[in-house]
Amino acid sequence: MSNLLFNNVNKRFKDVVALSNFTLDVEPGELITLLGPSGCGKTTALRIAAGFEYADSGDISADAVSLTHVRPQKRNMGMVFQSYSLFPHLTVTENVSFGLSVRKHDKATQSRRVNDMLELVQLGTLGSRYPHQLSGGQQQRVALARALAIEPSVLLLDEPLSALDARVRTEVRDEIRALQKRTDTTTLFVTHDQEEAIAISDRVCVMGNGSIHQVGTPRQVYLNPETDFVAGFIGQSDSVILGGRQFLVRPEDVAIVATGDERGHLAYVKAVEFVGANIQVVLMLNELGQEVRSYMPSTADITPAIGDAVGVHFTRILRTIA
Amino acid sequence: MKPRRTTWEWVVIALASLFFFVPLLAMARFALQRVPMSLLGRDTLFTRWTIDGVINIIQDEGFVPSMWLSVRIGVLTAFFLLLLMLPTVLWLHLRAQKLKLLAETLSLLPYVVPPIALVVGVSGAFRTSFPWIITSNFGLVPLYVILCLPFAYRTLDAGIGAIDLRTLVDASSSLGASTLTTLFRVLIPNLWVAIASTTFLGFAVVLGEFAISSLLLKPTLPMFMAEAQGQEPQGAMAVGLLLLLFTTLLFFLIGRLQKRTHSETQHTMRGAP
Repeated sequence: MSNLLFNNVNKRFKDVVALSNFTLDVEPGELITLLGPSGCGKTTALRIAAGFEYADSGDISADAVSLTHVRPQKRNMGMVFQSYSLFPHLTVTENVSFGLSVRKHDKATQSRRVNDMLELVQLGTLGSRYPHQLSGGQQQRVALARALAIEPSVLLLDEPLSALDARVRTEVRDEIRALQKRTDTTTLFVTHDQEEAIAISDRVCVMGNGSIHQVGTPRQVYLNPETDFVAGFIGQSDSVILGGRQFLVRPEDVAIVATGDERGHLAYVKAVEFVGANIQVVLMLNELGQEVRSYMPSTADITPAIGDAVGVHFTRILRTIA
Repeated sequence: MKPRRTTWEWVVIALASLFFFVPLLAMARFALQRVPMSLLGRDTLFTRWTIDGVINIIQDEGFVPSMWLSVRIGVLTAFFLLLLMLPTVLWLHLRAQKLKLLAETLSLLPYVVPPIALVVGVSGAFRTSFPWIITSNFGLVPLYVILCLPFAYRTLDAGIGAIDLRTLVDASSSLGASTLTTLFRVLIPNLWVAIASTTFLGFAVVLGEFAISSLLLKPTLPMFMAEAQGQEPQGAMAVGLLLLLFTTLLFFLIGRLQKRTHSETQHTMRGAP
């Protein structure tokens, strides 16, 4: 269990600012997600932590020991990559023991540790298989076992789920979280998928254009976004201008009420879509012709029809735009 | 899934095979039939086949030394070729993508520089400081390494391009492996087809190169065969045929290996169903 600290890290690639004044303190045993659109610098931050890239300025340290000039081999960080990164010529067992054999652990320790790790990711029976004989989900679990086998001070995960299909993705996601908690490993997880970030993290660090917009628990960033960017990037929201004020609302905070209701603004139903758990109703606000979405449960008895006049009540304003 | 070949594809394959096999058959008949050349026709197709010519030439006192010299030069050439090119191409892929074009162009130079220019240039430049390049038989090795650069560059470049080099290197070093450990335990095992191909290609070039060794008067196998052609034309032709078949077989094997490894890599990237 280590603490990982980025202190005022800056990095440019030619004219592009990848990270600017990036400061983040990852607590021991914590899982922090770096979340943002592609090109926001999240992967650069991770690669700087791993030692694959060097910062132009600033410092990175683990347990108050500076890593800035430590080579990747000596940083003791476990890493899982976006693309399948298992060594194709080695079996599952050999892949997992690679880091241990490089560290010259004796054979008995290696095989004990490998067995433990494979049990942990529930692949105990597949030790003699080669990577090409495994499914994508299994490969990423082996990659995770391989990264954890060296008992890393920090675990770095670079969009490890993005190559997997939807069902396997949730499965492996939950497994990563369970393992991370069980081993109490400080973890930095990079993703562009907000749902993933919200589901897995202790804290989420939302990034855009190389800088941090907000760091907070999933609940905080979802319910109280500190910048317009965060509000727009996380979850669904629509922008509404009423009485000269512009604000953002989430569809679940838009209630459809009777036309006579005094809290309501007059609106017309433009579209009704069944999207699974919810029915999404697209409403046209009468005043300015603005569109706003509302979610109602799929099981609702009465659903509005296209063209209906309804009242719209905003139960909660997400954020007022300055 | 493999699409079925159309008739036209079969026609092209058949014509290409004829183009390849007819001269080989002609060589074989000239080399291995004790029939006067003017009588080689359809009626004599099965007459007096013999390997006497081959035996004669192998028993010639010049054969074994020249063969042995060529084999040693071949091994050294392949070794130095890999020593020079494998780290270079890896480095280009990892650190200097932009220099790849330059490297590719440079590696093509041996195609356009005629052997005489290479020999004159090298002997002029190194005669005084490294006289062994001219005097020793192994002075051919550096020249042959240069000659092999175009093949070696392309083969290694393709092999490295087919693996996810960056990720493998990063994964290995994050697990604590030094650069050399990564090279020997991760990269070479995954590039062995490209490495074997480069070795075979280097070897094949050395076994067939005549111009440079003749300009420098080195007693290599091709030189011996050129001389033997006067006394034992059939035997020389037979050895030539064997060399040709040997290299063809090597390249066929390389092709098979590449195909197999390629499909396995593809499989790994997609993941099993």
